[in-house]
Amino acid sequence: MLIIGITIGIAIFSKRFITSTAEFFVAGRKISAVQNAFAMSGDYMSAASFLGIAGLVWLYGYDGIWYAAGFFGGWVILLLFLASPIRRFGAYTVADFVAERFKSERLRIVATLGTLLISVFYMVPQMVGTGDVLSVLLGWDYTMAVIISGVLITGYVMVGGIRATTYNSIVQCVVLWTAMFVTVILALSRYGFSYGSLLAEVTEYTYPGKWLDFTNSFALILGLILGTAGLPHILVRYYTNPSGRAARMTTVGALFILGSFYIMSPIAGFATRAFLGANAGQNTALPLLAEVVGGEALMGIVCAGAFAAILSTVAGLILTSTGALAHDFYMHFINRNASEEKQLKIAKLSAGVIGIFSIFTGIIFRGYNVAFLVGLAFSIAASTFFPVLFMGFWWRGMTEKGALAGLLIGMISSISMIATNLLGLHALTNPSIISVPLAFLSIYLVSKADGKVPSNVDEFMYKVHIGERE
Amino acid sequence: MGNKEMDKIIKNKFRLSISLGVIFLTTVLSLPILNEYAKNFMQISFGNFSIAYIYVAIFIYLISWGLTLIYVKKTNEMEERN
Repeated sequence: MLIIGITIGIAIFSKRFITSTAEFFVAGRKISAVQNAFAMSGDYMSAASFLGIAGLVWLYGYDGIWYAAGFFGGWVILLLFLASPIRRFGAYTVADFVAERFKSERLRIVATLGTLLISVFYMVPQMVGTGDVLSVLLGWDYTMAVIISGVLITGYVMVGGIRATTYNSIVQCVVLWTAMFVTVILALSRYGFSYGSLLAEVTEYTYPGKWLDFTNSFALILGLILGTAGLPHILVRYYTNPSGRAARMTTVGALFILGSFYIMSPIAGFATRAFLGANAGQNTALPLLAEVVGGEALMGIVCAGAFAAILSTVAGLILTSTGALAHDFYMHFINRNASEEKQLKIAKLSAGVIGIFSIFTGIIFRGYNVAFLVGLAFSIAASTFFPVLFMGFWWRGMTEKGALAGLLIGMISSISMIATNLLGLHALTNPSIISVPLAFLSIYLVSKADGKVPSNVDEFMYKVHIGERE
Repeated sequence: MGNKEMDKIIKNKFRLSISLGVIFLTTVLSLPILNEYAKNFMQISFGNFSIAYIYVAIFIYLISWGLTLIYVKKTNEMEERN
């Protein structure tokens, strides 16, 4: 309750700072690298990281840890290939990037579509998470919990804009990390701080293979790692850095914050199995563990932390989707000369619409594990955006048609494989080992065949890789 | 700055990123492969921690942090030189 109070307080305080659309979307680029590292980590530590991993490890043991490794590993790829060039390029969104790099408005449409799709897939598990958490904490009916959270979150975004979200992200990053730390330490203390003894109680869960066979494990890790580097709502946050160098430092900071967090999550999962046996839930393992080792107080903190995590993530996603709808779509196709005031109004309206939609989906997808659902979003991002970004930044020979092929093939192949898997037509749960190489290949082949490289490619390469002295 | 010079710089940056990236991906993707094809080795235990566990829960992070720091140091050096 206190966190919700603080959150609302920050939102109201920040409202004064919304004076232009730019500030609404990228906070005037004034946030420091350290703050951004915490904020990005906070954004990233959504329901899946906080609740889902512990839940999966509780449920399936070792195989659940893939999610931690995968979620974390993506940041390394992001750092090595995309962080600095993205910031130096300076566009607001992925759609902006493809449109400006290749001088193509049709790429903008396709990328906007991809962004919306990924954001929706990512939002669903957050709403499911919020329903589960609030019903455990407050005893509310699941549906009520989803509706109330949705309304609160959407209102928050409409009032506060990205700066409020940034500060909220920083606060809740610290809260989540600390909550996890305290829970894990308390759990370990019951075993005399011997993690080995705790694992001895649950040995059968420490073997790989309870959930995923070899092919699916491999595909999952690949999808999670590459997907991180294609997530629109994470990439957008890079534009709040002052320079390419700062963007790199932000990523490094996030790696340390997240890494330590993901080392702890599986411990919580195993501890839940040790303390509660089968009496937990795949999304509620962590709060239930907190209750056992720290009483209602700790459970309250964990649930509040989870809710704040979800708030931050959904807010980030709403902003990204709003950006896609208002900035990319509306501005470019409906009303090019919209005044800044009008743009802001459209942005807020879009935020409202998306908020309502997310509530709806949260109710429909009750019962699914949040990390699993998030993994699907990741595989779409890995297939749609990562290949295009990677090759767009590093290969001169890429053409507009190649980009189009990459976006479309990545999007279509990943979605169709997910759909056919959910319908039971094949066993591959994560399409990435097929859709990602397919996207890369299509970019390469189509670009080579087409040959029409953008005329300003030299300037582009200079700008993103060499740039001005910072 | 001439085109050739620019190309050289970009190529060096790419080479750094690719080599570190390949090391990283190989490290991570070897894990399911080892788990499948070297089961006995991966289940060798130290205390109650199997190699499989140590690999996925700790080793990957240490490697990542190391690669990360190398990357930042080298890239900053490269950019100082320009």
